[in-house]
Amino acid sequence: MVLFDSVARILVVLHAAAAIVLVGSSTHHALIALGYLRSVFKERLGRIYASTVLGSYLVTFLLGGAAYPAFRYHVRALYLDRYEPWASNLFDIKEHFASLGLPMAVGVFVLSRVLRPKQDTELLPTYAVMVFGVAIIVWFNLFSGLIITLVRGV
Amino acid sequence: MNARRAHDIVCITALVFFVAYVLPLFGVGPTLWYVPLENRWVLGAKPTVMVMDWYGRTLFAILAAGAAAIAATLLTRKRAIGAPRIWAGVLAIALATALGTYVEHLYARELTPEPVPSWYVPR
Repeated sequence: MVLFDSVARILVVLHAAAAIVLVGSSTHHALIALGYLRSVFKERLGRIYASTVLGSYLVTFLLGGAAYPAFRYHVRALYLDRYEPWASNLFDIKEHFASLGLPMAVGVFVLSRVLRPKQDTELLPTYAVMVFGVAIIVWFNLFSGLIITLVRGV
Repeated sequence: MNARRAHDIVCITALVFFVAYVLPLFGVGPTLWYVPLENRWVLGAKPTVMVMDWYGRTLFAILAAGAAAIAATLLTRKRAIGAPRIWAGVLAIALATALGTYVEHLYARELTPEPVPSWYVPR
């Protein structure tokens, strides 16, 4: 019996719900970071979005990780690998992108707690790189996940 | 902790994570495999049954980044490391390289399907 097999569909639905929060918060955060680069400082909103991004990133990540064994066997091994290998490859790209976004989601949260955007202007490019990096990964993973699920879901 | 010090620690930690996460593609580092059909873990050589390496790969990178964070915290006690704008460029290039490396390895990968068990009923 594959781990969490009986609740895999519920996990994927919750994973998608958390991803909705994540894509919204990461997009808003990217707009805030863009504002910082243009000397528009919405510091309180930036901190709120940084913490929302981290929380929703971790929840989405963990729910996806819990549903993964069921997907890996029932969907990928028994169907996608055989009939739609491009979708298997896309899924693996998605999962690795998700892991690579993790240190940036954590890093941005840490920086948002100590950064004073108006004074620490020399640090804003790094902040922006990490915020945009997370947003790009999140949007890619959102569309990848939708496409893969349209092909075959758990 | 001041923002500059936090910035340097975060940058070093993220950079080490990216590197540690890409190294397994080149056979570097320990691999922790999860065998989903048997719900067990294997450290070392790849088992012959269906396995997953994502958990082990992510854990390895997290541990490496954790060690880097501790080292960076000690290193930055007295002085900053590098220039912030250089760090921004380094992180952007490192992230793009890590993402691109995985795309390059995976987009045209050829797969060997698992045999379908006799008891299997498609969902």
